[in-house]
Formats: sequence, C-alpha cells, structure tokens
Amino acid sequence: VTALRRIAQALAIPVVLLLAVTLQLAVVNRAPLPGAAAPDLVLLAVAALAVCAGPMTGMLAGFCGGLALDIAPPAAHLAGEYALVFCLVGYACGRARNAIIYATGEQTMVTSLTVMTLGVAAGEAGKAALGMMLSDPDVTSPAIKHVLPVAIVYDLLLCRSRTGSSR
Amino acid sequence: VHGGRGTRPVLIVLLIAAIALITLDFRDAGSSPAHSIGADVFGPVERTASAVASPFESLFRTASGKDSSEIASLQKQNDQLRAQLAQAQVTTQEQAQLSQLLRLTNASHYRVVAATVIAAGGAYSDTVTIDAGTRAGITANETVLNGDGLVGTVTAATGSSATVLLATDAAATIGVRMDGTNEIGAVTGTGSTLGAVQQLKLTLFSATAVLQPGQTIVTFGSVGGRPYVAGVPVGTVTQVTSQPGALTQTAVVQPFADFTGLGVVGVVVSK
Repeated sequence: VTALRRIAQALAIPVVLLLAVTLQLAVVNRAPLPGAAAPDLVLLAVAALAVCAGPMTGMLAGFCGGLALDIAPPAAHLAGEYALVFCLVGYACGRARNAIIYATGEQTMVTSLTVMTLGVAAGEAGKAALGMMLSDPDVTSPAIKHVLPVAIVYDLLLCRSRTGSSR
Repeated sequence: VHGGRGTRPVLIVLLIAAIALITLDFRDAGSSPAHSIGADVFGPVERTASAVASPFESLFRTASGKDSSEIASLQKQNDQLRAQLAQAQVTTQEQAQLSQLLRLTNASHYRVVAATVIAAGGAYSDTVTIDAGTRAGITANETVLNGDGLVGTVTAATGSSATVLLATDAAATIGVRMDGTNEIGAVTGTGSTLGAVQQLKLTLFSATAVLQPGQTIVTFGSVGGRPYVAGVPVGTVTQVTSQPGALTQTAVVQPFADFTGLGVVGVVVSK
C-alpha cells in the first residue's frame, strides 16, 4: 500500500506542475487583475511541494516548473532564469521544513505557512533580481517597483487560502 | 535521507544546468532551441486550456466590475469581442476591408491571417501566444493588428502557434508618422512601469513640428513590411511631455487597441 501511495504521490507532482503552468499562461496572465500584476501559481506550487515533501522534491519540482515557464510560449525572458530561481526556492523551503521538523519534532500549519511565505517572496524578488542582472529590457527598476509588491501580495493571498483550505 | 547528503549534489547539477541554459540563450539572444521545443510542447496545451477557459472568461470579466455601469460597459465590450470573434473566419470581403484599413499601396502583396490569443506572458513582459503558426503562413517579424489598430509583431513562430511582442512591451520600438503632417518619429512601449494604464511614449524627431493632443499616429512601415507594415493606426496623442529646448519632442500616446482584452487578431503575411 505504501509503495502504491508513493507512486501516486510521484505522479501527482508533474500533474500539479503542468496544471499550474497551464493555468498561469492561459488564464491568470490574461485575467485583468487589479494592480496589473498576477500571482505566480508555479512558484506557489513549488513552495507547497517543498514544504510537504522536502528539499529533493522541492528542487526537482522547482527546476522543472521553472523551466516549463521559461520555454513555454510566450516567455520573453532567457530560458533557465526561472528554473534557477525556483530550484533554489524549492531547495530552501524543503531544507527549512526539515530543520523545523528536526528541531521541534512536528510540522504545524503555522510553520509551513511561514516557510512558504518567505520562499514565495524570495522567489518573486529573485526573478526580478535575475532579470535585472541579465539586462532584460522589460525588467527595469520602475517596472520592479510596480510589479514586485503586487505580485508578492497576490502570492501571499493565494498561499494563505490554499493552506487554509487544504487543512 | 531527509535533507541529508543526497540532495546537495543534485542541487549543484540542477543549478549548473540552469546556468548553462541561461548562457546558451543569452548567446543566441533569447532564441535558443529551448524556446522552440517549449513552443512545440506547450502550444497545444495552451490551446486546449484556452478553449476550456473561454466560457468562464467572459463571466470573470463581468464579475470584476465594481458597479452596474462598469458591468454594462464590459458587456458592451463583450459584445464587441463576440462580433470580432464572428469575424474570425476571414472571408475575402474581410480581407479587402483589412487591406483597406492598412491602406496598403499594393494590397495584393499581403493577406491577413486571423488568429486567437491563447496565452499571455508574465508580469514583466507584454507578450501573447496566438493559435496560428507557420502552417498558416505566419513567420517571425510580421505585423499583428486587430480591428482597432496595431497590436504588435511576431517574434517567433512554430507549426501551430506564434509569439507576439505587443506594442506596449518595453522592448518594442515602432517607427511612426503623424497622420496628416507626415512628421516621423518612434513609439516605444512603457511595459509594466505604468501598471494598468496601457500607454506608449512617442518621440518626434523634429523639434519644430506641430505636436498637440488629439493627433493620430500611424506606422511608418519597414522595408518589406517587416516587422511593421505601413499605415496601421497606432493611437492618439493624449499629452505632450516635451521639455523646452530639447532636440526632440515627446508625448504620451493612447493606443487604439485594448491590450488587456485581446481576442481575435490578424497577422499580415506576405503572399
């Protein structure tokens, strides 16, 4: 039974990521949300998977999910940017989760939520920083000033509602 | 196993792979094979997702309105979009109308391929994917427009999908001329810097030319109509922002096309 469950879990991860990527591109990015920025469903999914399953799953999901966002049309940034950032976010969230479990012996909703919150905010900042470092013409400091706070707020709102509904 | 030694080598391999991808793409100026593979894989997925989501989209747009007047105006917009959708099956008549819109000197050189927007780029970039590609005759650097005016230009195309760089993207620069006075200049997108307001920035090369709000600007046209064919309406000047004594004049331009609600667009392909 545990083997079957493990296989089911392993299969669920690519499905979740593909769903997040598709929804992000076909629905979320096109929705006229107030503030003219959108939540990053893939980043949220990566942070959630890392918090649930640890650093190995987190970084693999981060790399694959980020890469999908990098190469799926109409991406205008360099391939590998989001893969790099999301991979680090997944790894860091997974490590933080393990450290908390090791220290306290349990995993509570509050700690999971805190780890996800920090991971998602760091991920949004990482996307902006990497875009600026690679002199992406779209990622300028006025654009970051406008997009970053709104994107983080949306991510946190979704992060809260998702964790709230799953427990 | 939990957070143990096994994870770090994998992390290093993944990071090296990501950096290698960035380097390769940087060398190819953002057109490495990774993007075409991604377009082949995700193009059909986006098309399916867009088809599934489209009934909810009109609902979503109406629900986001704050008061009844806004809902009414959104419904009107919906009707317009529906009308545009009906026009999607481009007949020879519509081709003639669009050619007229383009005011092409030799209309027989071009035809218009209709396509639907199926996906949009992230917060920083103003790009969309359309559901027609090289099989419909679309190649890179072709002009994209809709019934209102200029939309953008094709940056990459695969068999069944193409990526469009919208005129509002910070990386887009379009040669334009003032309708009437024929003064030339360039329009650049403002990207995400202005938030929800879709505006363009006009730089007029002449320091003495007449520039005032209400003037219409159209595309100047490029050699062979790539990346922009001549005479497509772009927008109207809403505010002149020139500094006294500057060598060029600048203004804010309100585009004719509504970039937040793009549905059916036309791609001008050479015959």
